[in-house]
Amino acid sequence: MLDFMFVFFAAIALAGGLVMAFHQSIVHSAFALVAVLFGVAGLYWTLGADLLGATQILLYVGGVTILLLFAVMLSTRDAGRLAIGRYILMAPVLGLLGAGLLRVYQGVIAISEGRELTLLEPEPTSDAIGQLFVDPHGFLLPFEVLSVLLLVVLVGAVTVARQQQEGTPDA
Amino acid sequence: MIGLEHYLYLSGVVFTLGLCGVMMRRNVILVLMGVEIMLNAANLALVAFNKFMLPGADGTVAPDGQVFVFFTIAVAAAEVAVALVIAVALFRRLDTVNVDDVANLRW
Amino acid sequence: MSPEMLTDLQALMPEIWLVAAIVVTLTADLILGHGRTARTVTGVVALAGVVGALLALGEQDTSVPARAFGVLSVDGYAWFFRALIISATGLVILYGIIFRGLEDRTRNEFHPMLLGAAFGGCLLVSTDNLLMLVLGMEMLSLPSYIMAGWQKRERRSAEAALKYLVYGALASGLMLFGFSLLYGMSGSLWLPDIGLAITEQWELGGELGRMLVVGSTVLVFAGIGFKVAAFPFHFWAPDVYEGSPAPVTAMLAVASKAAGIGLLLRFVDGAFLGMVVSEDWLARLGSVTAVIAAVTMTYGNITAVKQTNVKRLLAYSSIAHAGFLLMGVAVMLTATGDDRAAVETGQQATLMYLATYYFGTLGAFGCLMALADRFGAEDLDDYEGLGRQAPWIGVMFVVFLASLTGLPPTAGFVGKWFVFRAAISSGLDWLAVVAALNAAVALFYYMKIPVSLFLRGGDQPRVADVPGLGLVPRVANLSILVLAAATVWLGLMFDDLIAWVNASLL
Repeated sequence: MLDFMFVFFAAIALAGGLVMAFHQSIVHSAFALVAVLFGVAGLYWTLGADLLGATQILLYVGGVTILLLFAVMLSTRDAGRLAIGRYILMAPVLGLLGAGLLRVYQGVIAISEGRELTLLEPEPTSDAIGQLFVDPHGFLLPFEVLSVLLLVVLVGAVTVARQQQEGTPDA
Repeated sequence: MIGLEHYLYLSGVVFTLGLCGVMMRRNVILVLMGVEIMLNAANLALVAFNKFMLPGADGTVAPDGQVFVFFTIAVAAAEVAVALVIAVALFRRLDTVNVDDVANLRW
Repeated sequence: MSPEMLTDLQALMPEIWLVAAIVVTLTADLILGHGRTARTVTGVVALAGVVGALLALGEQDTSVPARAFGVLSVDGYAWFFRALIISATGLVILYGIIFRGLEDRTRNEFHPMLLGAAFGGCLLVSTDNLLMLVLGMEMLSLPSYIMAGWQKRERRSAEAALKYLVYGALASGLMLFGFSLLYGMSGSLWLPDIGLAITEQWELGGELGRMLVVGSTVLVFAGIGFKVAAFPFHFWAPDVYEGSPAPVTAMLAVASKAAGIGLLLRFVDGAFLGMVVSEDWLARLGSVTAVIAAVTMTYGNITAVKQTNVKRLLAYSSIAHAGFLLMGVAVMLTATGDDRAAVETGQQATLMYLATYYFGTLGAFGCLMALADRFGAEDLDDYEGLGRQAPWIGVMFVVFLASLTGLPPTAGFVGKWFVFRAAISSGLDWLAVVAALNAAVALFYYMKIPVSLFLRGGDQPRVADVPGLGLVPRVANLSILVLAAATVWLGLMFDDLIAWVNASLL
């Protein structure tokens, strides 16, 4: 069952990634991104990270991709054309990068040998994670910093966007 | 049997696909989608590592990696919000979000 | 509240001041609108926050390193970088208040961005926890992206923001992936644990283990290299520096770069030097860093020679300075075995250089902004004859440029001298030679500015855009004067600076 779920979600994520990276249409790419994010959420679930999977769906699939789709709608006329010349230029670079990554991962595999996912535990993780968020020696400070970050960034974003509306373009 | 290595290989492949997107695409929004995919690959690796971590002295594993991912998701959302604003602002001025067309500053 | 938590909060006082200033400026903006009163109030509050943060920092005793909230390491090192970042932010706020390129309507919201970036920088240099590193980095970067595009009427500004954002997001993606590998290796987010795991992998992991170490290090260094604009990741810097509003450029060139160097040193020290070191690994990393340092400074300087826009010229020269800063890091990594003294030499050189760079760059951007504001001068051609019209600014500009070049009676000379000495003492003679050649090139292009200011141009006076100076510009000019005085003073009496730096070593 677990094997099946892994293969299922991994296939969704991979297919989405392929379409995202190579499809001509920008809207197709955006929906492919949704597939990747959904696949990853499912994989979190197979890893027993239920809360994280739910967050991924809510925040990423529900929030980030909507934002990106808005950006596509508001700002794009041309299709997400691929630069073929760039492919030829980049192919060796990407090949090298891929080969390097593969070697790196073989290293990771070497340290991870013998650790297998055996059972799918439906045990909820929210309790332990919630505790860590409010533990002064755990993640309390990062949690507070994150709130400041969101405050500052969103105010800044709104300010720039509002300028756009009110601004009289000087053309 | 599915083990850590499967997750990690998958994460590596997804990361490379995201990098392909970043390198090949010229539309800023697509570039950012590629970055999001790279971030997701990293997140997946973090959660997988966390799951397969050897238990500590008290016999449990602290969900550090999972918590880390919560933070990166939130930060990525903020990043996309900023990107949306900047891309739309530029589009209104230039009528393009194509990285190659942004050539006024020497690229 | 437990007494323990109170101590933790005390360690965090400077950051609390910054956040309080953010909240108060936002509230004041909300209540008072965008009028003149609101601008005054937000400006004063922002500056008060910075002063409060500096005072709180001054009260901290860091002779005994402490930990706060489990993720911050409050030591002399953090103190040094926080002092640089916060004080630089204060000056940039002052510059921002007078800079006419910003629209009055959005001036109030500009302060929280700057303070937020400073807050992020402070966290970035005081933490040794990977999660906090990511958060600090984003807290520093995201407001910077927004600020780069703040002048939305300027096409260049919007483009700069976009470029900065795209490359910044890519860099943080690479770095995060590197962090995930480090986490997998060590099972911990804490740098010293990661250092142990790296050593173990390199020594016992065989070829694959080494690949793993190299891969994760490359990914993380790519992210940091982006932040400090080191060679293969420098390409965003000139455009972003040129396109951003001048105060933002000053912020990026000083505070952001200082934070990046702070992160790099802490990472190098925590992950590579803190334990039984693997000499072979460090030697390789050290020689790679030395090569990157050499290429970075050479590239920056050679490209700067042909620039005509002064802001862009300073941007390229700032890339070159990143190369000099990396020299110190290379020395740290080349120091073999448990030779702590050699490591400290490298670290001391980097900190000395950074401190002197701080005065020179902030001052130079202050002068640049003053000239741009009063005469609308941006290019070298526009600068012709301005030295005679604004002699004070002109002379101070020359002092700062001399310091950036590294000419003797200024602070820059001391910084360069320390870096050269460190390089030679650790056997990196070739790097010192390259650096010396670079300093000569730098002299050539820096001197183009004073030549334009004082020796070129006709006698007819240029009409200043702003006839008289108000109170705030006077204060800003006064602060530039203080910077100039400090530049000269530190060039002559650098004992205090050395003592301060020595107290800040990791």
